[in-house]
Amino acid sequence: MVILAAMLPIVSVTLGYEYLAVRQAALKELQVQADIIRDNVAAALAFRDISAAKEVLDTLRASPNISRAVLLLPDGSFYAQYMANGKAPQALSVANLADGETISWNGMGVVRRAYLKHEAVGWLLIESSLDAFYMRIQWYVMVIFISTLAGVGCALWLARRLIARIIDPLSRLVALTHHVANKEDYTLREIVESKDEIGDLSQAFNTMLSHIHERDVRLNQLAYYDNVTRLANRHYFKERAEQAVGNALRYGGRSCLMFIDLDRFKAVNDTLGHDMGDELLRSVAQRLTHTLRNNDVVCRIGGDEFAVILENVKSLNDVALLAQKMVHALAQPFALDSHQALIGGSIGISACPDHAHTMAELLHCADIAMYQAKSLGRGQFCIYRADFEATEQ
Amino acid sequence: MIRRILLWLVFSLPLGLVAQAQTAPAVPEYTMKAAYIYNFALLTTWPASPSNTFNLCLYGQDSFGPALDALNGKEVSGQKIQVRRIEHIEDALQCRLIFISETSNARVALLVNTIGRAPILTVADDGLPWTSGAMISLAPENRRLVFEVNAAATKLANLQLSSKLLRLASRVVSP
Repeated sequence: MVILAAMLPIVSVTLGYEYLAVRQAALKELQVQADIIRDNVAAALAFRDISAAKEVLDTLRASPNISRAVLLLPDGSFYAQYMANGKAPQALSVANLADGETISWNGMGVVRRAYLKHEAVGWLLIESSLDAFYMRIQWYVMVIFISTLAGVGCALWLARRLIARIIDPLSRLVALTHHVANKEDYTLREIVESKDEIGDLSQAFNTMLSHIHERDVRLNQLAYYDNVTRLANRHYFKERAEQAVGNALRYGGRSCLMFIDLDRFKAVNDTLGHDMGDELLRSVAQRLTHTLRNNDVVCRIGGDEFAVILENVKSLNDVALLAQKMVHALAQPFALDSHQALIGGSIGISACPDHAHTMAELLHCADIAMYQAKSLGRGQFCIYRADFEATEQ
Repeated sequence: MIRRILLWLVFSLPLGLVAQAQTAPAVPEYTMKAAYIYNFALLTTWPASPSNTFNLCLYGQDSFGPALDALNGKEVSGQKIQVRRIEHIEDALQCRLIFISETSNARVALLVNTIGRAPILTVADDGLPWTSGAMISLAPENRRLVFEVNAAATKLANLQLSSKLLRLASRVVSP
């Protein structure tokens, strides 16, 4: 639409100019012919040789545009006439004869005085029809119209190609950006296979998304993992425990929670330093992980506190056996550089749905159970019993 | 009544005659001839001359009335026409164009001899024999004039006649 609107003034101006230019050219042509005729006919006029004059006028037959040519004597009286074929002789109005041109909508006329040397011997009036001229203009209009259409067609085709190559990929990239921003999904990618700036943009974009994704993963790790032991941390534990409780309630299985508190870790930490302390914690984590099954989740939830989430537990006996193994493992000495550390651990166990039906309850029960284990002399495990709470009080 | 008419007739007749005598227009034939003479002059190329005057001479009978003198002052080849009547043959050599209306053959022959090969355009009035040696010979035909050209003679006199002129001649004697 815009293109058409832009073309309209161009076309009108071009047409207008062509019309004037062609008309001017046609008039020039007529003037040239008039000059030639009057030159050739001057002598015949001077000598009143009418047959010679007519002969000269008849040469106009070669110009199909010329509709009429008239010779007048110096006083303006009629002398001789040439009419193009098929035209009826028209009356001649002779007023104010003077060298000049006239253009009207249906014809052009040129009036010239004929001279023999410098002596005026008569007048030549020559008229041409504008039919051929209008034909030419018609052709011009058609050509311009067709070329305009072709131009518009080309422009549209180019625009389409432009859209396909540039706008479409850009739109897709924009859509991707919005999607990523809204859904925070940094795994999406938009591939644009072209060896130009758009392709480069798409590549850069995808790379950026990858970096963000990696950062996310790392942040995730930081958020959910304990740097020292590489175990999951409290945040992860909370979510995972929530999940375990939900699964137990929904599917009717048994989920268990173990709280593990290291007995003499603080002493080691104070004596050997924090670096050794970290080393020790790592070793503890390793041992715990070794003792447990693959699907069991071990987390570090505090300075020397660990938690284990167990799902699909068949019976509490199994858990007890497991806890015993862990206590035994923790009781073994740990090798640290040139030292040996004996720490030990106390374990409190709670189960859902046996002891609790929400995570908070489950945590509370496990906590109580652990304190019971500690008060019973450490280095052992305790499965929660409701009457522990009374003892606490 | 009748006497009145007769009287009116008697008085009007002399008036008519007088009127005619006063306006006495030149015979159209000679007006045309004068025009033709001028045209011939225009369509001829003469060798250069230092003079400002183009002497257009008449040798013989003057039947032109005012027609020939009307050419006075008109321009030919950058010179102004001066119409003269030749009294003595020698004067002929001053002329650029001589219109010969002399009827005596002997006289015409003498003029032609005197002129010889001088660049003078000789135009003969009708009635003169072709052998008079004139370059252009005029004669009436129907209601216009026709002319014959002796191109040989013009060549001898070093005069150049335009092809436009030759084209319109009824006859051209080539060199």
